[in-house]
Amino acid sequence: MSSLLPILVSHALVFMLLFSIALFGFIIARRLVLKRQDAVFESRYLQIEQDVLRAISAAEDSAAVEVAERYRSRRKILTQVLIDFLDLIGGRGQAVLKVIFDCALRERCLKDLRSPFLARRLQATRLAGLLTSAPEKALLVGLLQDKPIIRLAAVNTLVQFPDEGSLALVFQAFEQESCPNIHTYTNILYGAGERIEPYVQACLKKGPPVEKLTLLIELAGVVPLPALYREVAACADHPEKEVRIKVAKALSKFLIPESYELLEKMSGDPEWEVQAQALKGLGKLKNPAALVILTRGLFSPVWHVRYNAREGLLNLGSLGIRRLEEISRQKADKFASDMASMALEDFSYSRLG
Amino acid sequence: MKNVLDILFHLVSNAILVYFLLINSFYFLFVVLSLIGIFRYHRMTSYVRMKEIFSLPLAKPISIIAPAYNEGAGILESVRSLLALEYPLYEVIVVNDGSTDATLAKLIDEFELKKTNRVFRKSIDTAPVRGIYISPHEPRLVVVDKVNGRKADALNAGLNIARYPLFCAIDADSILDRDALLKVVRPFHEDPERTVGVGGVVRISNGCVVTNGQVLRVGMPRNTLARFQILEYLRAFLGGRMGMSMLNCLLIISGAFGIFRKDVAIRIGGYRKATIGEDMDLVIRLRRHLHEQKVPYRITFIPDPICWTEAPENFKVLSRQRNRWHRGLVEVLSRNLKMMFNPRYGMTGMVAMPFYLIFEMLGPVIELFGYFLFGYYVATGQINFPFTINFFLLAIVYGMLLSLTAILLEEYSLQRYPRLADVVVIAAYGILENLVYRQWLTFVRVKAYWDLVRGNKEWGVMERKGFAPERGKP
Repeated sequence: MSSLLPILVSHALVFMLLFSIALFGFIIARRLVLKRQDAVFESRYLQIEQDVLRAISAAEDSAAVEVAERYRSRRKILTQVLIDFLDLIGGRGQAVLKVIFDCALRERCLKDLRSPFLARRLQATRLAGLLTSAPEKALLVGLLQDKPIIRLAAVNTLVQFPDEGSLALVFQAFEQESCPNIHTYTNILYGAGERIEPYVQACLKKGPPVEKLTLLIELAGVVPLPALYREVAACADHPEKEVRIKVAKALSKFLIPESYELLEKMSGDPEWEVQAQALKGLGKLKNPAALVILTRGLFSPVWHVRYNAREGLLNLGSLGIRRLEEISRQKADKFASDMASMALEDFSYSRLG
Repeated sequence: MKNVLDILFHLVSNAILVYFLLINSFYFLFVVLSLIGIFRYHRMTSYVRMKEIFSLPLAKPISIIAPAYNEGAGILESVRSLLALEYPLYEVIVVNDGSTDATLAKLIDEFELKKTNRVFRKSIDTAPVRGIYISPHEPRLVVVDKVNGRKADALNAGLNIARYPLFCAIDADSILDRDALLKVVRPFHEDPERTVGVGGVVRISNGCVVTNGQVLRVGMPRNTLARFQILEYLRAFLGGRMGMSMLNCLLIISGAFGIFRKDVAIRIGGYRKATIGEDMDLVIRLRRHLHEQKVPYRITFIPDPICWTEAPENFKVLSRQRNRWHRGLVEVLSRNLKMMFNPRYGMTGMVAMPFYLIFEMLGPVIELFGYFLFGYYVATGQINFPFTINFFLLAIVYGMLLSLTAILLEEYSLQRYPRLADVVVIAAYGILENLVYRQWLTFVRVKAYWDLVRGNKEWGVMERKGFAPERGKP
């Protein structure tokens, strides 16, 4: 062993040294090659950019087709130009970009949707979402069974197309989705706006698991979808606290007078989180009748309830401000008095601002 | 007797050789994993538009907590940089931790701060808060003035004040890239149920041109120590942490830039005040708590968002910093010995904790012992000089190889150094560091044990020059 060690060390030394030199050479060579490539990319980018700009300004779509034909072989640069423009322009300009994409890149993009490589499928799915005007729905539907990251990209793409079939597919995927990913759906579906109303309604009626129910109610509140008031209100007595919190939150976003009684009832919920949300909602409704409940909330032992009650009172305008002044002067409950003082101070700052 | 001693030394020498082989194998494994991770990250994030987060209805708002102790030199630049970040909804909480310089006065003057009677929920006990200041012109800024209680206490005070579900702990002397929050928050949107913490890359700002709180041009510092540290940071962040993140056993999210779920952090009692390695301590306790609760979770590292920080430029300050880091490491590991080699804690208990114990914590002691052993062999004439020289060269070349792979990782991930000459300089420092710098650092880290035994809890003063545009100009 001891005679073998020096040989081993000297061999390792030579190997490591050669490897290091090769690695250093590789880093330098890569830098030089990239520098050259960047220069080429930049000059071609500028050229393509000018031609795309000309196509956007032209009255006919034929200019766009011509650009697509000319740069079909410069896939990477053309894609980058189109994506960069997409961030900057809207209206007809975007339509021109999509024409160029359809003529020059769409075929390859659709082919990549079937690629065995995950990253390529993902890139193609995102590109389809950004640039195609009519994706091959069948291909995207196939991706709804793919890995989570691809599935979500496919859902994102489908949501951007206004036909009802796409949304139906997205909700179908949502129903089948495992819980860790469903939060992302809410963010994606938000983009579709009020179009999702019938699907959310149908989902709510089916009685989904708690996690999905919570997100659907939250979504109904965020968009908002006040037409779903009845379905949302029906969950106000749900045994799960999280669901009740979201119901109170959604009702405070709907801002419909009918929700007053329900929110009043929820402000007496045994869980403080529900109480806090309900008080916030009551304030937003700006109904002077809520003054008593909001005042009671300000004396709650729970900080968040007090905080939301103070927000509610501020929302009631001069009536609430007067009540806050009264509470700030009382000495019986220091916490309520502090919260009221803070609210008044913030109010005066907001007026200054 | 002499024979017994020789046999003993011989055995120890062999053990040191095995140790050398193991430590380098681990580093190499992390580098390979990092390369895979960086490739995958870049391919997976292609065509993702970060600005999309602005349109998300449930984009999670973030409270940025910046504890400041005598940061008068650079505080305004840092706060301006924080207020210029791109993110839909966030607040900046600067916690003035009893500074004895003009930190608070500068902030009050610049942002026309007014003292408020804001009431906050004291979820975590902290040193008394003297006042909370807000700006009528900049509603996102909150300045908390409190009695000095060290960094962890200041962070806890910030946690008490924070309004949003995520908090980002940063050093007040740091600068974030404008899109850093957009990038670092992605895992919280992609996997909101499981993601608990995310760390980003911390880079050295010495030598860079900083204007209006943004790094405009990245350059190489003239100071030799800062250059050594550039390489160290590259290895630590792009090599070590990325690799550990790939194994799902990341133990450190730098105190200079990390983002966490507030509810979970509060549940474990926030930052532990009686420690000097509060960043590592938080991550380990989070892991411990979540493992014990059997909650599936992720604590990840993203090689993309960047935080710039000022590195010490003299031996005195650097030795204080490294001494503190090592004391922090020893403290944190010894407090969590239960997790060591414990399969209940998964990869954290079986890989990360033992790695930090054997190679990071005990590494300097073993290395120093190796130097003494070498001295002994020389003194007793037992040295095989050709072998020793070869072995010494092998250690240098291996270190250089690791440095080169770190540079390669930088080239693949960010390529922030625009000049080829800078890359060559960093590589050259990869060789130079093995000659004196490495041995000096070993000594500093061993001295940390002595300070720990003496009960030294000193944080050590960091001398800041502040971010000035002239500094980086050639």
